[in-house]
Amino acid sequence: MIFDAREREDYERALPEAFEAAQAAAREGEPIVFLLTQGDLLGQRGAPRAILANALLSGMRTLAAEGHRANAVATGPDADPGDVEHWIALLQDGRGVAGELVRVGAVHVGKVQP
Amino acid sequence: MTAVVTGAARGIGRAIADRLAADHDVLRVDIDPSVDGVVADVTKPEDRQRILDAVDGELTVLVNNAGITRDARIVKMTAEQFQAVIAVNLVAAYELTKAAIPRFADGASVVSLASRAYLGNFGQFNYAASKGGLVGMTRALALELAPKVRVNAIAPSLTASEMTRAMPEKVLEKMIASIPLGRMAETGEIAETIAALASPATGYVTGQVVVACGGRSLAP
Repeated sequence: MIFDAREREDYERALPEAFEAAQAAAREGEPIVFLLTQGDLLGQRGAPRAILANALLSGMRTLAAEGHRANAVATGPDADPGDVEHWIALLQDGRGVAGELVRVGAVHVGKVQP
Repeated sequence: MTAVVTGAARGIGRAIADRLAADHDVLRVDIDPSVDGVVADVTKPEDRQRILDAVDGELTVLVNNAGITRDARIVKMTAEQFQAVIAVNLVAAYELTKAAIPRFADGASVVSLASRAYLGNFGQFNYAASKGGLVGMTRALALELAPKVRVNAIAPSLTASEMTRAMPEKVLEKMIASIPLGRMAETGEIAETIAALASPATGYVTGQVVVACGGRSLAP
C-alpha cells in the first residue's frame, strides 16, 4: 500500500483515508509506504500539510511497533523522481526495515530531524 | 496576562493551571462540569468561541491539553475509535489555536501536549497520529506566527495520574523499569516544563518539542 500525502492539505479527510488504507494493508500483511515531503514535516507549507505529514509519520512508526512493514519516504524539491521511485520500491520490498523515514534529497541537513 | 488551559479539571491539566496561576489569570476549560472555569466541549465550534469570549483582554498563554485515548491495535481499531481521538486531541486543538490568533498578545506562547507516543507506540495508531499532528501544527504555526507568538510542544511519557494509578501494578512496574530515571513523572514536573516554555525566559525557543520522558525514548 502506498499512500501519497505530498499534495494533500485536507488533513481531516486524508487521515481517515490513510487509516483505512493502512488497516486494510496491515490485515493482509502488505507493506505500507507513506509518501511525504520534507517541507511538510518541518511545517514549511502550512499547518494542515504539516499536521498530515507528521501524523502519518507517527502512525507509520506505530504500525512498525505493531510488527507491520511500514515505512515512509520524504521528498525534497531537489529529489530526482527516479530516485524517489527507487526508494519506494525498496521499502515496498520491506526486507528487514520498518519504522524508517528515508529522506530523498538533502534539504533536511541542518534542520530538525522529525 | 491571561492563560487558557484545556482539559484542566484534573491530572496534568489541573497541575498546569495551578502552576500558571502564579503568573496569570487562568481560564480553566474542561468538558467535566467539576472544572472551576468554563465547561466546554472543545470539539464544538460554538464552545471554542465561548472559551475565547470568556478571555478578558489579550491572551498570553494557550495550553492545548485536552485529550483522550481509545487504544487498540491497528487491525482491531474501529473508525469511531480513530476519529474520536483525532477530533479531540488534534482537530479541536488546531481549531482553537487558529481561532485564538487574533487574540494573542505580543510575546504570547502556545504550548501543546504531545506525547512520547508521537515517536510511535504499540496499540495507539490513533493517539500517536493525533500527537504527531500536534507536532506538525507546532512547527507550522511557529513559522507562521513568528515573531509575535511562540509555539512549542511537550511530549511527556508515563505521568502519575488517576489513569496510571488505575493500571495493574505489574504492568506499571514493568513500564517504570524501562525508564532510566526509574519513576513516573509527577504532574507538577510537566507543569513546570510548560510554565518554562510559556515564560519569556525561553523567549528564543519556538517550534520545538521537549520530550519529557525520563530518558525512556533512549532506553533499549
